[in-house]
Amino acid sequence: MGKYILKRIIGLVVLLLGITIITFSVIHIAPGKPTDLEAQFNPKVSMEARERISHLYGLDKPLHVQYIEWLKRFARFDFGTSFMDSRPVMQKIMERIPVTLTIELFSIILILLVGIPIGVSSAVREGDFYDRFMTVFVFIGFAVPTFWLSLILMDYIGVRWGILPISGIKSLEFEKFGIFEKIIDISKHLALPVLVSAFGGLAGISRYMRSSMLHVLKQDYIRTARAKGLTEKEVLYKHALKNALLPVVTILGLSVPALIGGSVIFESIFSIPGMGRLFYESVMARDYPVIMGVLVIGAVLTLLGNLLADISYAAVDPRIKLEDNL
Amino acid sequence: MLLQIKNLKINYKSDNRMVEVVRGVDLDIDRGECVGLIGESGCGKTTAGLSITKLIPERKGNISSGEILFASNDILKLNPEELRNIRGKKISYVFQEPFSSLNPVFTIYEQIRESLEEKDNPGRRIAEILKSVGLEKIIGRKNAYPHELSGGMQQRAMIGMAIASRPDLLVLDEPTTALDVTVQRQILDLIMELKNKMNLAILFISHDLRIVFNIADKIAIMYAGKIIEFGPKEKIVSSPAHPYTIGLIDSIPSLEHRKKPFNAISGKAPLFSELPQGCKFYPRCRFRIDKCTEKEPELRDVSGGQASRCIRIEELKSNGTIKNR
Repeated sequence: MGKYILKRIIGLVVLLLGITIITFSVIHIAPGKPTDLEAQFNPKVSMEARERISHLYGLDKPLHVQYIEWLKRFARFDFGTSFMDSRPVMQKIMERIPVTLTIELFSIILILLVGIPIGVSSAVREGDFYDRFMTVFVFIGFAVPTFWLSLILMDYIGVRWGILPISGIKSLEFEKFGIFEKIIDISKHLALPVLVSAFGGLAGISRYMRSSMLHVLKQDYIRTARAKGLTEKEVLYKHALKNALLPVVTILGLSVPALIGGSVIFESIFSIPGMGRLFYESVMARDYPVIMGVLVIGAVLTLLGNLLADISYAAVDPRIKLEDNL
Repeated sequence: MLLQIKNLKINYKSDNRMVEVVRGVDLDIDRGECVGLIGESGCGKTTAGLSITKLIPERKGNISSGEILFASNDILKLNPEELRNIRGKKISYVFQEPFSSLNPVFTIYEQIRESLEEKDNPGRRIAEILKSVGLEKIIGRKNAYPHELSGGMQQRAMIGMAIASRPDLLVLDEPTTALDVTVQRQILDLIMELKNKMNLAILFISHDLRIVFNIADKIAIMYAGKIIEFGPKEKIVSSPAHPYTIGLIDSIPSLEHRKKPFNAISGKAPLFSELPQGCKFYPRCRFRIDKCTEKEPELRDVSGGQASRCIRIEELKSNGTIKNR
């Protein structure tokens, strides 16, 4: 087991290297330069000044040289400094990451708390009105664009009814609040983003759970459980559910990238100072070191999510042993 | 009589329409008696076996009429609670595929424990059960999962679950079909040993005549949803009284006469949606006459306890067309 994890981690490092090569090339090949904001849009800046800025950032060197320099710094966990405000990239990301992770964690918990019961109950009542209603409900969540739903919710819940704040994560008078009020204030601000983020992810988990449960309910061991005289509750929620939950563990690990991707959109809409918005801003400004930093952190989280899914699968399914000779 | 099935009819959903797959079955099983139920795949024998404790999924099929009297109580009239007190407690099942019939994510110990009647201090009783089904190997191994056992051992575990609460009737649905021949023998020996020790009544469902000839006291032959011949084993073996039974016995490959041609019954089992008029075996029968198509023959006694649905059997036997073996 220990050996297996070590081997997997080595594999992940190689994979991560590949990811950085591709993302580094793609963002440098993309049109627009970091110097554009300072230089291109300002007619007073001379040609020499532009080259000076380019040189300052090291952008005049060949791409592979730039990459190797970036990699050397990255090996020391140094992501460089932002082109925009010259602050260390690591510091900028660390400021932003807690908000994003908080929203994501709560939205995953919400997805599981709502999605798994929906999936299980739909499977148990396969084909009746409840099942069909839930199918439509979760697919609406899947199909509705995040930005549209966000705007509608902001308009009704935030503006017309004034129940929840519509942007940021703190009220203006936040500093004056006591600790309890601070928690309430932040939860109020995060409620809509978490809701929007979870609604979109509901379809995946609940449909997956439904089909997994349906598959399990057709198995011979369910007939055995009934033949033993167990109650319907024991048959469904002990014998069937434990088997049906196994594949969902994997899906959970794989849903990390989708959540990170989604955060770019709703963090921008809700003006939440998280990773997603940092990424959006840095892409707009072609702030290469920050873009690379955010992408690498996102990639690491995704890869760890996959590894965790594999390990937890072995932990919950007695039939699977992670072989050391893999 | 421990179990009396009377005129049992079951509809099953197939291609979105209901077809009658058990078309009026009568069967009695006494305490300590082993009745073999034989038939081709799809003749309704498994469905009939499952229906004894109403195990047919409601979406798939329903029992349209009949009575299933178990110790004089009609099982079809029980509420779910009463039914649960019979399932696994008085009537237990062992199914064909032990690997898929055991839940992969629970230990053998846990799965046997669930079948116990008295739930407190189960350790000793489970060890006792494991010993009686020849699984001494896993006594004390509380974390042994089904996938760690061989097919034969898995079936022993299934049998252990089935006898855990000392039932009166065991329904064995092709319990050895998925196993190697040598393991089959061991499992059959185990079943016979338990039957004698616990005075179990057994309904042994199989398509394998040789196995049923070995262990059954009485044999019922099922064809197209009805029993076409019933009687004590000795009579069925020595003087079968239905052309279908004769065909089945003739199609057992002989070990002694290897050159003897293999005598399969011609034709295919009919579909339930397009059963022939009159005798359902008519299209495949070597001895058919026009009269056979007039109406479906009743099951009638032909010789002291042996019953058949063939209208010509006495005639064929007396003129020597069918000889006793």
